[in-house]
Amino acid sequence: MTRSTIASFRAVSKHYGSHCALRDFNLELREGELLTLLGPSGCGKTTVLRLLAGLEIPDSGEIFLDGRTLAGVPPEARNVNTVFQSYALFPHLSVAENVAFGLRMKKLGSAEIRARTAEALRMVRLDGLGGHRPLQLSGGQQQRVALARALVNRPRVLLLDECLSALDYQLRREMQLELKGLQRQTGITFVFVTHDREEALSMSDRIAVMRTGRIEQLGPPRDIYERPANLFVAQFAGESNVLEATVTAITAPDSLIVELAGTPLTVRTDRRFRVGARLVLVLRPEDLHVHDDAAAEGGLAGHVLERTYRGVTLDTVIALDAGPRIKTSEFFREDTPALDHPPGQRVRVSWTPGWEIVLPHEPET
Amino acid sequence: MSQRPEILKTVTVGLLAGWLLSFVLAPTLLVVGLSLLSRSPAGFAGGPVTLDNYRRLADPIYLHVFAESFATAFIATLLCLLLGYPFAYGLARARPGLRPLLLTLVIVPFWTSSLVRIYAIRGLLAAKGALNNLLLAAGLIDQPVRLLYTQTAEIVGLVHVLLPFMILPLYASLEKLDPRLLEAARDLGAGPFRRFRHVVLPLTLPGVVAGCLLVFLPALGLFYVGDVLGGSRHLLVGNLLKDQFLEAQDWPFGAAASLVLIGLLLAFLALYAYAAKRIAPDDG
Repeated sequence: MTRSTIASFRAVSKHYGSHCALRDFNLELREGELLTLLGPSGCGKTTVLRLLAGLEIPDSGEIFLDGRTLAGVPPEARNVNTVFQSYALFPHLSVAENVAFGLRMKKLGSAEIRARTAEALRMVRLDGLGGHRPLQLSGGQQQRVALARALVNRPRVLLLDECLSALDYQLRREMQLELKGLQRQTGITFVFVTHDREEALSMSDRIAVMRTGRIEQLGPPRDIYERPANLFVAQFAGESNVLEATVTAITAPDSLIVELAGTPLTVRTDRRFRVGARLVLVLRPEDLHVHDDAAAEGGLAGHVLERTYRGVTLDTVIALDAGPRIKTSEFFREDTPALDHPPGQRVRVSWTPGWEIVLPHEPET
Repeated sequence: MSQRPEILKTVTVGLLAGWLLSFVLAPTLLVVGLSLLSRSPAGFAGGPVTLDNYRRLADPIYLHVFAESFATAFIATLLCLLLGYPFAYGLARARPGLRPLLLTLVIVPFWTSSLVRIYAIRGLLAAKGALNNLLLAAGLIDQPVRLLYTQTAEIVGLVHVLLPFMILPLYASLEKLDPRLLEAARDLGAGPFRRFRHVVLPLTLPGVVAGCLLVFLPALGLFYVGDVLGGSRHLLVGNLLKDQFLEAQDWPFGAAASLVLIGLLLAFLALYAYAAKRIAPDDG
């Protein structure tokens, strides 16, 4: 099913003084999706939200909502609502009054306001707390009030600006599930901003990975993680071991032999390389297996530097003979005989052929 | 082990209590006592104990002074609020680098005695003063307008002296106002007027009340403004009190009048406490 476009950015640029927050930015938002803008701080992701909300005006380019340009439309007239990072709840109003604020501004009848406020509070499981002041609530509860206050207006697009970042880990996990559930339940398009890759990967229909005012890659979480467009995306999307290698032979259209500091390896890639070209291999720690040196062949040889028991996984740092260090993260399974490799032990590191990510070498920037 | 802090605490609280007892409670009780005595021919006060002084205050003449003085103070307060709020708003939204300078400009008038400044205003408003000369020269009037010794003159003086007392608490509460709340209100569909009405005003109400108290209360008592600009026809409560003590030498009656004033002022303070509590129930 292809979903229709609900909002789009066309060649939008935005500067703050001399700092360029967005440059020639293009994005199509689809009806009913949960799109995440993922990137380090300062990459312009919050600016995207503020532009769509109307709290900032683009220097150039145009933004459309439901096919109509938003140029000259003030925030109060846009059918878009924001859950702010700071929540920005009105301290002088009760929880219910906070939630009802948008409806009151729309001058709806008091019966409808009451009904929709109660419904919104029920939706975020805060029924019964309507009479409290926001400051009397916990952080997680305040977060829900902010969510209800935005959702109650039934916006075309809901903008969420790092709104989970102030919560502790446990609560975050819960809220991620709850947000996803609310999004499915309401069918409203969510644009979610975060710098937390796990959050992005677990919640999104699509992720836009951003760097310095541009989208580096846009796609479903799986594409971002398994087929990153470049090294930045690969590293931002997950733990990565980055190894440099040189192409020594091309054996098939999608198969290369590369040399990694003296060790020949066969790798698979859709990308085209010439013999002699430099490239990088990105290996996810959880894709790697560690074997006793004596019992295995192939892969990369090295010795164990450090082991960390993490409950779910056993993490090992290995110094490869070729030079670089790599990190592995192995799950405990009955069929893996010996995960326990003491520091100093000689080991070999292998992975399922084809699971390596092959990217062109990028000069250091 | 906890002996020493206990002693320190006792001494501190004791000092404070002693200070309040001797400099606040005792004088007030003296005034209360005084207000219940009669004026003695010897010039001060004596028996018998009576409520006459309070009864005399109900006299239309005095009620009129109270009423007019409250009206004057009210108008002056309102003007200070109307002038001070936009100023304080601009101050709170000015570039951080500019704010100290603007704040200094608010405070500069304090460096000159307000009495001197009131006399300066008198010079401006006098029949042959600067303002009349200007209006005559501009051809807007044919003969000098009566400006001095009017309620208007009194109000001009009060506003001039008391405006900073309005601006400073307003600035304090406007500066604390989180601009993100205004963005949230915009996002939820509130235009400029309703952002002010539903967010800015309620959240700065404590500042408004504080400013109004700091202007209204002194405005009732600034007797020299009444003397210099209002003349004998426009008395402030402050003039009434001063005259009872210094001119009429009727200390018991003056004491009764001041107690009534204090009572009214306390009522306003209670109102303030109520307003502040309504805004922030958590902070008490």
